[in-house]
Amino acid sequence: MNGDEMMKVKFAPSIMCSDLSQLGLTVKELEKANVDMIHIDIMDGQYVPNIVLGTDIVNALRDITSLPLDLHFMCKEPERIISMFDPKPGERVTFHPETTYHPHRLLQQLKQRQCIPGLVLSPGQPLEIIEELLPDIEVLQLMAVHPGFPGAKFQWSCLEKAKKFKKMAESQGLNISLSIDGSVGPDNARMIVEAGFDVLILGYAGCFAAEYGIGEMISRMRAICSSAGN
Amino acid sequence: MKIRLSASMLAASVVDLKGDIQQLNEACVDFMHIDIMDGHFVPNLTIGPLYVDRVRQLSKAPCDVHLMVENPERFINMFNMQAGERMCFHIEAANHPHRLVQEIKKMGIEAGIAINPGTPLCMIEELLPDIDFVHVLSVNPGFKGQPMVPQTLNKIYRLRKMIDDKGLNVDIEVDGSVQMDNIIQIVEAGATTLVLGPYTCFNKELGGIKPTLAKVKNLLATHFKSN
Repeated sequence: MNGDEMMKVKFAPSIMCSDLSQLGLTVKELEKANVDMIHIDIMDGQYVPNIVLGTDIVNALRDITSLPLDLHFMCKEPERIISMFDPKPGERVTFHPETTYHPHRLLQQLKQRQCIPGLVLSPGQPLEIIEELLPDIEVLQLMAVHPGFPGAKFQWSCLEKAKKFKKMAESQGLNISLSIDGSVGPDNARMIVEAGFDVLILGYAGCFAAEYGIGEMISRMRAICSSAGN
Repeated sequence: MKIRLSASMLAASVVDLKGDIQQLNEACVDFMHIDIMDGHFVPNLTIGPLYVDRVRQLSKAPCDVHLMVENPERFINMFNMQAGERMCFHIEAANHPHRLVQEIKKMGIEAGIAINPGTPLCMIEELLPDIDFVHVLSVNPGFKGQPMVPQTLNKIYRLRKMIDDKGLNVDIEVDGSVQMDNIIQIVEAGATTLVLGPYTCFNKELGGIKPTLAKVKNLLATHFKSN
């Protein structure tokens, strides 16, 4: 399979890793670099030991850009917290299945809002825990790091998990977008794309590295991804 | 006593935070007030340590971190607090407030306790000798721009009397709906630090941050000669 035959890889820079004092400028650069969406980590300090971005930042992004948002909820009581952010039609909304007793219901609620519903699995969590939910999700996001902090060590096990998931979804005739989140960069992008991921969430390593600009990082990543599989 | 001014970053520009901090630096505020909300203790979720770090890098004034979270003991060490800064948590959220106050002080910063409009002063009376400031919410916390809960003024007055009667030196920081037409009353009731948000700091109708703060300072100086 060559680059043209592979599904086009999408980039979702994680705004948490940008300079939070210049959100407006950053968004302009991301638009110029033609990224596909903006990834936003929402942590409550209870499910994960950190808080990073809140409702004000999400609302500001909705005001200043037409790039779609990819909202990743890392919090307890996701039903309540997700409502606080009032997700809009077309926005991706993902949460961790173990944070709610009723993941199936929450996925339905997201679909009613015309969001793109998805689930997230952390390293160490088996695919089987979401087996029954596959027909109800449009996105699966695999964490390549333990959620909570940027710049953590990339867990290679997520590549095998991705391959296994692709088979699982194919055998059920399902077309589910597969995202990867955590320390994705030039060093591992090729193997990530070859494992079947079609959305790369980019932090410091893949987009906001201080020594290069956003534009340069994204074009480097794009070159690596399009040569994958050759 | 000099009245100190703490700029509420909840009301600052999200898109151009740097620009706002520059203006706050030029206007010489005393603190940068940063609300940390977890979506559980209050019905809103805000920013965290990364934001505080960035504000700290850009700002001349020390950070004034207000934890509106459940289990505050899990949060106090997240922020890399520096000498001259202050942190408060809510009495309603803490199981062991006395211990938590000691742990905050161990970091070499000022420790405070925040109280919601519905929380009586007796909840913090035993802790007054151990704390540097009481953070009095004059609105129910979570969102900017709400009207003041009217009984707050009397509560500030009673708290000031309680502190004075004990011969203590505790700062009273008032947060929520500090406006041009109540600011004097709030200070007269006994507040010594004011958290300023959309009305008295980031007020576009008054020409933005610098003219608004100049007006506040002028108002305070006219009424209280020492300021």
